Amino acid sequence: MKSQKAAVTLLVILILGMSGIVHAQTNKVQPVSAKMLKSWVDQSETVYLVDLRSVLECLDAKIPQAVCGFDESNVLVDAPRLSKVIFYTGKQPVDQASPLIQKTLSGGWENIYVLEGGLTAWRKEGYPVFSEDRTPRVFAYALDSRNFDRWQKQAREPLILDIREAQSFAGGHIEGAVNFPLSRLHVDYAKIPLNADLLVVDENGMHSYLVASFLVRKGFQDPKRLKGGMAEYRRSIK
Amino acid sequence: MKIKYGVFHYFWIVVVVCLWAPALSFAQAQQASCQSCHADAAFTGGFHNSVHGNLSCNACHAGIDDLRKHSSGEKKPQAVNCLSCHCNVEVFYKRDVHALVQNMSCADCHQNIHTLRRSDKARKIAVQENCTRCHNSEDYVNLGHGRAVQAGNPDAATCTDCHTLHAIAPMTGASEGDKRTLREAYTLRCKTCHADPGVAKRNDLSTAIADTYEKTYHGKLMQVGSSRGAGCADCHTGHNNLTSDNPLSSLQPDNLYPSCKACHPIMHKRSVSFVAHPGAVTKNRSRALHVAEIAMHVLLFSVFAFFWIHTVLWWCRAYLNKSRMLQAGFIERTLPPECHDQKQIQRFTLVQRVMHVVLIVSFFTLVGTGFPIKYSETAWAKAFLNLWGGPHMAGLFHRIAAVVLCVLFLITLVQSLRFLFPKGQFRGWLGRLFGPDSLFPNLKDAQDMKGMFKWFFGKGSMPKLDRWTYWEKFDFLAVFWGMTAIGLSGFMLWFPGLFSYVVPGWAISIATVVHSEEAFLAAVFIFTVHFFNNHIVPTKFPLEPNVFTGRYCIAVMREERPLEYERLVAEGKLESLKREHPSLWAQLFASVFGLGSLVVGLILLALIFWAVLFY
Repeated sequence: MKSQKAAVTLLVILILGMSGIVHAQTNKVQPVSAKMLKSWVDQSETVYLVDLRSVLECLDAKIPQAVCGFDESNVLVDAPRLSKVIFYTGKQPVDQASPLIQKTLSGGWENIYVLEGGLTAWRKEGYPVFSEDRTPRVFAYALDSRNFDRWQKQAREPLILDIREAQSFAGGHIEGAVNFPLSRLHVDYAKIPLNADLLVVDENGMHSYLVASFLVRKGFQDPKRLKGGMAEYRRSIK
Repeated sequence: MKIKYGVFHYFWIVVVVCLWAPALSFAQAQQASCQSCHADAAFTGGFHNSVHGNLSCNACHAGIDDLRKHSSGEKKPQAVNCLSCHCNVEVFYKRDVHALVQNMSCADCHQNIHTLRRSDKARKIAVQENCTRCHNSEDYVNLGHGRAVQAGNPDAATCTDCHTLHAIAPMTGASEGDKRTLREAYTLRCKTCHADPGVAKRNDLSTAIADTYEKTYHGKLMQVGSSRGAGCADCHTGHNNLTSDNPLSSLQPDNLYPSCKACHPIMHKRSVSFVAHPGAVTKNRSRALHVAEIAMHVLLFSVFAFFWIHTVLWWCRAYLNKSRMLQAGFIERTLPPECHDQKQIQRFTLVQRVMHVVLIVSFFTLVGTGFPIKYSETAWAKAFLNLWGGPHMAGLFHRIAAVVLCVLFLITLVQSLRFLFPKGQFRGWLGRLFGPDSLFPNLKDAQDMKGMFKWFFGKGSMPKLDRWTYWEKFDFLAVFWGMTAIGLSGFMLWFPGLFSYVVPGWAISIATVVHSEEAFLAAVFIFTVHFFNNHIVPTKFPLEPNVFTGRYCIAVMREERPLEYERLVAEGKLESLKREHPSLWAQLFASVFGLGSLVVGLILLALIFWAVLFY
């Protein structure tokens, strides 16, 4: 009888413990909608918004109260531990394994959120964005993957600029491409030969337009971009 | 009529002139002031004659209240807000991909904003030129729509006709739900021109291409709001719109095959002979499909012609007999008194009854989930599918019910073989096949049919029937015949990719026709002929419960199936088939489920007739 009681007690403790762990885990990073976030901002709640995109993108447009999270150190140094910390990207889901979020989790912040749908969802609701240093857009031609070979033959000094992060680049890239990750391009652009015929390649064509415009701003001539990025390129060579 | 102008009118003209003229001259004066520093050709050359030339500089570049500070660089103008005037654009543009994803402002596309004039070229060409400065569209520009735009065809679609001007939804990175919505929206835009008889006539096209799309499974899914089916651009591509005789066309088999594979990864190349737009163009495209359509129509017509005439004549005869009996002073027929006292006779085993109930449930599920797709254009289709949880869930229920029906079919097949070859005995199988306990037609059925028609016309008495009547045998065999046709075609439509390795694409088109027409035949036959013969005929109305209770009164058997009764008595088998009356629960189930099924069937029949008559 005693052993039965002990077994039942142990089971109850285990179940409660497991539910507690699950509760704690799920409470760590929670999603928040654009509407809810706006209401927090309007009600002057203490919110710390962190834009996890690259410098170029963050300076181009961000939620007005946000800080750019590209510099992973010290962005939350002034944020009280009980304040709400909200991370967001452009449209892609936030990678919860990112170093900054992990650092926040281990740093004692308890109210950590990710913005559902990112900046796109925020804009979709018609809420304002702030451009600290907007890159004026240019007419940057999108090259179809089918015409890639033709471009390579016709260009005088072709240079394929792969702006994906190093890990993605290492996972497969166009032959001859050089890696200039978007996260550091605001600094590294100076290493790109000014007279090269540039073709900007990203993962799915969503970032290459901003980069092409940025490069024109920095004096490069007529950079082109690969339509649909590597995703489209991979499909075309199948 | 001569209009007389009074002093009051002249007063207002003077006021307007006094206010407007200084405003204009102020704008021009201010432009001149700004241009003294901003002397670029873009500001000085064309601005005065541009579409914004009547505005002062600070109408857009507001916030400069101190020229000295502005000149020294201390004071910058506020950001230009084009939407303060073009407010109608704001509603759409905030959801446009250029704004949402690319953070593009008005001037990024309208870069010549200070010299912008109404285009000398046709608007459609101007739009095309501006968009293709960024967007590679060699397919579009050099082929189909794009070339027609450049040739000055006012009906040809320029970029904004399909993509809209300022409400271009993001496609890359869109969720599956958003992609489906976009597919539906783009397909509707294609139809706005291609279903327009005027456009079709002017450009030597046929609106049948749009009409016939809606007759396909792809089109029907789109109509009920599923958008899982292929839209126009899934096969025709977005920009490579050429007729199929052009080697560059996306409709060429070599080019079409990848499009099919995008949705049907397991698909043989021969599947491209699938007739994607059946109907008006069918005769030219596939003779086999045309023959299949005619064959199905002949089948439907002959079955319904015979059995509906049979049913009407039966009802008339039964009604006349009943009226005459009433006029002659007989009371309305009820169960004979001995039915309450005597034991009943076993007609259906428990397994057979359970199978019938499962058959009803699966059949109603198939009709309830399949016909909203067949009649997707009806007002009730979408609402009906929503009862199942939407088109996708309805499709799931449809497939589950189909599998259940297949299992029933196989069980019946095994039972039939066991009846023919009991314990593996082959001897005497022919006698059993054509014997009185068999559901296979025999000479007696032909005689009974002739006798029934004589009885309908008052030329004789009702023939003496045995255990299974010819109409019951038809019901049974129709399930076998129907299951083969509808089941096989259903599996072909369920797994078109796998079947494409066995049959050509046009066979899958035939499967579409067979499945649809056979389903109509099955459903309408059951809800009219079967319901009448077994339940609504005046002698059985409103319900014959023995298919649910399994047993019925000996007196009724003697009256309805005298040959069976006499045979059982002669063989001494009657006693062994006698059973107690069904329990109260069995009777209650028979009444509730039986009558419920009748009502549901008649509602479905009404919806089908509504679709046939009014759509």
